[in-house]
Order: sequence, then structure tokens, then C-alpha cells
Amino acid sequence: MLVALKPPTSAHHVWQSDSPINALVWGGWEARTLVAALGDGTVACWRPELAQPLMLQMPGKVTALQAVAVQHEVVVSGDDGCLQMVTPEVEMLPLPKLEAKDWPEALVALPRLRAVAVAMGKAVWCVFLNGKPPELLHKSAHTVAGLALAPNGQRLAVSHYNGVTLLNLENPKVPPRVLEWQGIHGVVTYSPDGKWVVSAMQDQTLHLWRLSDGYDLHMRGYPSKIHSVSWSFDGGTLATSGGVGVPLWNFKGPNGPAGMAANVVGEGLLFQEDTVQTVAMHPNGPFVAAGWRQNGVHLIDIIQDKSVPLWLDAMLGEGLSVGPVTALAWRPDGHMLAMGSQKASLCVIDFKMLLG
Amino acid sequence: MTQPLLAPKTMPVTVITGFLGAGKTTLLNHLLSQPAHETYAVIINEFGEAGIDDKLVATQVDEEIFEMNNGCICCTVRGDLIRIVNRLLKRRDKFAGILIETTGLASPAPVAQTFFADADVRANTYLDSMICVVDASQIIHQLQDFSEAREQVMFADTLLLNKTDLVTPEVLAEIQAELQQMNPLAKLHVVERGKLDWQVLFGQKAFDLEHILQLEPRFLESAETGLAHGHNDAIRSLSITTAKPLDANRFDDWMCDLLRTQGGNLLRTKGVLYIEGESKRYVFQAVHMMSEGMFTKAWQPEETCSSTLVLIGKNLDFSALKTGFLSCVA
Repeated sequence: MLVALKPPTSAHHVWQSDSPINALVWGGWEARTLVAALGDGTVACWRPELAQPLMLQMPGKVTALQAVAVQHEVVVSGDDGCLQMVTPEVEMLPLPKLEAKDWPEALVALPRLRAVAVAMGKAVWCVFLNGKPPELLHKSAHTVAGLALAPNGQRLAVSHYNGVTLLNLENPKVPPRVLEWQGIHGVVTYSPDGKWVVSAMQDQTLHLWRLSDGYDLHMRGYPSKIHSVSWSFDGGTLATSGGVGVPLWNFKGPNGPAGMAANVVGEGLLFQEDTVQTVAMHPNGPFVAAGWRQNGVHLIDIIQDKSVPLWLDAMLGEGLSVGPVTALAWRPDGHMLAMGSQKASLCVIDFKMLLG
Repeated sequence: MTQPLLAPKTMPVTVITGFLGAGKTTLLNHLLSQPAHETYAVIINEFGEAGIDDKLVATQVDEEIFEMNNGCICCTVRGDLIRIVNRLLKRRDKFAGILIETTGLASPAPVAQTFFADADVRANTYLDSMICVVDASQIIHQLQDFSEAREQVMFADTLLLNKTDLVTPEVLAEIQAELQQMNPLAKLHVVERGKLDWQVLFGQKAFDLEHILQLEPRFLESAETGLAHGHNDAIRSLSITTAKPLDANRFDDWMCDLLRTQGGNLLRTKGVLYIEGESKRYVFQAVHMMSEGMFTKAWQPEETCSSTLVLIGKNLDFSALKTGFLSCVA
């Protein structure tokens, strides 16, 4: 259930539920539909013309873990391994269920194949939206933690203990390339130019590989674990969570951020000690939304390092708190930002309306 | 390390260890079929025939032990535990606690170390207690033959003595004495006909070191205890006490150096320290090389301020440890 709260302005839409917002994604025609995956198995779908979101339900009310957009469809994964497709008409259709005792740890869209890649335990599956039987893409020696699709759609990065494996999706017979680095790898991403692979590690570090020659870099100094990474609209800057502000790594030169410290923006915004849990770069401007581990969201201008609070307890009313920010999603046109928290709050800001 | 293990408002975790055949699964299955008053997340190896109470959310996963990237092979964590904690945060349920059963041949170190070494696990949970189920009829030979069995006993905060009806009262008394000698920090419970109470499992705060101070005075006085069965890796425990205040920096330097050089041999180190110039007691603990410390309660006027350090490990040089610790006196 989502209960609408009184918004602070007409550009805000605020709802309260009773279970965590685990994932947010914009899908449907022209990416105008926001899909929210909740801990109680509810999938909320909202468009600006709707006063209340349309509520869908995962079968068996299993926790909805992740959500990704594949063209106009959105795929939502359930805690028991089920996958559901939300159509642009906001109907929920089942996709083939993967039988495993483990749960989906990562989900990524494979638009060229009209499919999603799902990491379940040690296996990576390709599940097609047209109902074709799922294909096993990869079996890893260890549990798979993260997935990332290369910008050209031809490679899939699979992160695990002691490294990242790059699968060739065009020709599965080509042996995968393994990027080794000891330790527990988590969230993984390709740079938008496809030249770098970056992995966030359990020991609060970041590892970077240049794919042309395997040159690698290791970045330390994070006060907490990195769960979220986001590239700037021009592809030259990587923002990460895990800092007391938002570290920005410069990938504009051929050597990436080698020899450069991160440019940290948004430091000292909060009085209490808190770290950033979720980051989302604006899709076409020099801004980053930063969601805190304890509470709230700020919008930061990354050129001038100026910030404004976007989401605060005061916007929810008596006795309610935003809590840890679990999901941030800009609508691809950059006009709207959706924010979700572990304490079951959901908020959408319409910047076009807010700024006139 | 900003978030203490004993942080309030986080979920307590109880870990159940015990050698193969100790009766963990039977005890747990019995427990799980009992009505639970609150919702618990239960991570177990196998489900029994009996139905599980609705309030219990059970998960089965493969144990994955990962080395930390710090060049120390004794620093290992349980990858599956890290994943489970993150997944539990995504559910609607608010858990009163998490119960984890380990496999019979598992060393307890990686589980305990996960609570030191993983930022997410630290931020969202705390290790309430580590409970070891002991088969009274088998434990003596298991301790002799298996390092895993010895480690499980040494790591425990609570020892549950099971299958006691299979041994004579004399043998039972012998076993109890031996277990207490091996691990003077653990509380010993005799299980009555397979009955286990939720109260034994949660809210023990056994990992909370405060209870070191409430130990029987004889533990604080006992200079050294040991278990020597002619093994090179005989595990022994040492307890050192001084009434003189310690110098914080000197203790820090000595302990850092000790853990760096001998962390592999030290299974558990726990201490409650009286630091010069501080009104609060300093509570310290380590699992192998990983450690943490924090100031907790203030010393009360009626209390006698003193420092106690307990070390449990292999190949320990008792006199060097004593000299080292006492050199930290301010």
C-alpha cells in the first residue's frame, strides 16, 4: 500500500508505505512510467497524470528486489527467483522462473536480446521477454555479486570473489576474459566509452581496469562500502557512494584518474556523521543526486559544489522519517527524480514544474 | 571503525556452532517448531520434518569463506552472511534477531570476523552470542582429534552440553571442568532432553565483554590455564589482571604489534581496561588480527577499577604476554 502524503509544493509527489522501496526505474512508452519495487511484493506504477499509483503484486507476495527497463518493458525480480514483466499497459506478466535455492543478486537489461541477465548464486542466466526458455550464460566458481553490460551490448561484466569476468555475448564460444584482483567484488560498471571496468569492493575500495591493456588502479579511503555508482552525462566522470560527500573520479584522459585524487563534492552538508548510500548523476546536466545512509537526499551542482536539500523529514509530516535512501532514478529526460527509502517513503520531484 | 559491534537498535545475531553429530540440527528443529513471539530470520543447514513457525523466516545458503585482501590468511569472512544481511534489509519483516547455524566442520572464525570486517554487517547487526553445542559423549576425542572442535569451544560465549545422559556423572564433571579450563569466558548450560529456549539464544549480550568483570573471581586470579594433549597446537588461555591504570597509547601500540605478529595464533582476545584519566571502562576484543575497542560504562564509586585481559590461543608465550601487558601500566 502506498498512502499519499500532503506534498510541500505542487511539484512534489510523496507517498508512504510500510516496507522498503528496493528499486526504482522509469519504463513504459517514452519512459514516462515510474516502477517501484517494494519489500512486501508490491510493484507500484505511476505516471504524472495519475493521482495514485497503480498497484501490482508479485506472485506469493515475495519481496521485489530489483527492477530494470528493457525498452518499454520493466522486469522485476522476486526474492524466490521469480521474474515478472510490467508491460507499458501496466500489466504484470510472468517470465520463466529460475529454479534455485539462492535469490537474484543482480539484474541487468540486455536490450539487443530483448532479455535480462540475472545473477542467481553462481549462475548467470539470460531470460528472454518473449518466453523463450532461459539460457545459462555463465557458471562462476563463486557467487556472482554484480552485473554490467558494455555500452556496445557485446560484453557482460560479472563480478565475484577475486575478480571480474567479461563474457562475450556475441560469441559465447570465445572464452571469457578474467580481470583478477583479490578480494570480494560487488557493484560493477563499464565506462560509457567502454574503455574501463570499475568494481566496488567489500573492503571499501574501488578497483579500475583499462581494458585495452589490463592496466589497473586501486582506490582507497572510503569510510563505507560503495553500493552505488553513476556516470555523468558526458561520460567523463564517475560518481560513487560510500563517502562523506560524493567523490568524482575523472576519466577524461587516457590514464583515467591515475595520479589524481577524487574531487569530492557535497562534503559537510550534514551535521552528524553520515555517508552517501545512493548516487544518481543527472542524465543531461552537471548535477548529482546524493542519498544519505541515515537520512535524506541532496542535489549537488558538481561544477560549483553547491547543494540544495531535496528530500527531508519535514516533507513527510509528524513522526515520519525518510531514513536510508535505497533508490534514486532520474527520468531519462531529466525532468523528474524519483527517490525511495528503506523506511518506505517514495517521493517524485518534477523539476520542470518546480523551476517554472 | 566508527560503528561499534554493540551498537543499539541493530539486529542481534546468534551463531550456533558444534561439531558433527553434536545435535545442533535436532535442537534447532525442535526450537523452530515452537511458537515464536517475534519474527526471527533463521539461516540453517537443513530443515527438519517438523513445520517451521510462521514467524521464522528460514534461508538455506552455501557457506562461502573469503580471504580478506590484507595479506593475512587468518583474516577470512563469510560472503554468504554479508549477502544475507543486505537481503534481510529489503524485506518487509522487522526481525527481532538473526540465528545462524554453521556446519559441523566449520571454523567459527570467519563468522565472527565478518562482524568486524564488513561495514554493512557492522552497521545493521551485532554479534549477540556464539553458542557451541557439545556432545558430551564424544567431545573428549573430538577435542583431541579436530582443531575445528577445539576452535568451536574456544570461540563460544555459551557452551550447551548435550547428550549428557550418555555419560556417567563423573565423566560429565570431568568434561565440564575441562571445557571451563579451555574457555573460562564461556557460560556452561546443560541441555535437558533436547530442550532449548529462545531466551538462551537471544539477548545474551555474551559478546558484550562487560560480563568478564562479573566472572568468578577465580577466573580473574587464575594466571594461566591450558589444555595440553600432546599437540603442538594446544590451545591455552591466559588471563592477566592489574589494578593499576593503563596508558592508552602504550596499550594501543603493544596490542597492535601483538595482533600483527601473533594474530594468527590468537583466537580470541577480550579485555575490560582501566585507562588512566578516563572515567569510563575501555572494552576491547579481537578475533585473530581483527580488533575493536570502545569506552562504555563509567566506573561506579563502589567498584574497584582494574584491567583484565583474557587471551585464548595457540603457542602463546605466557611470560612475554604478561610482561608486555604490564608494561602498559601508566
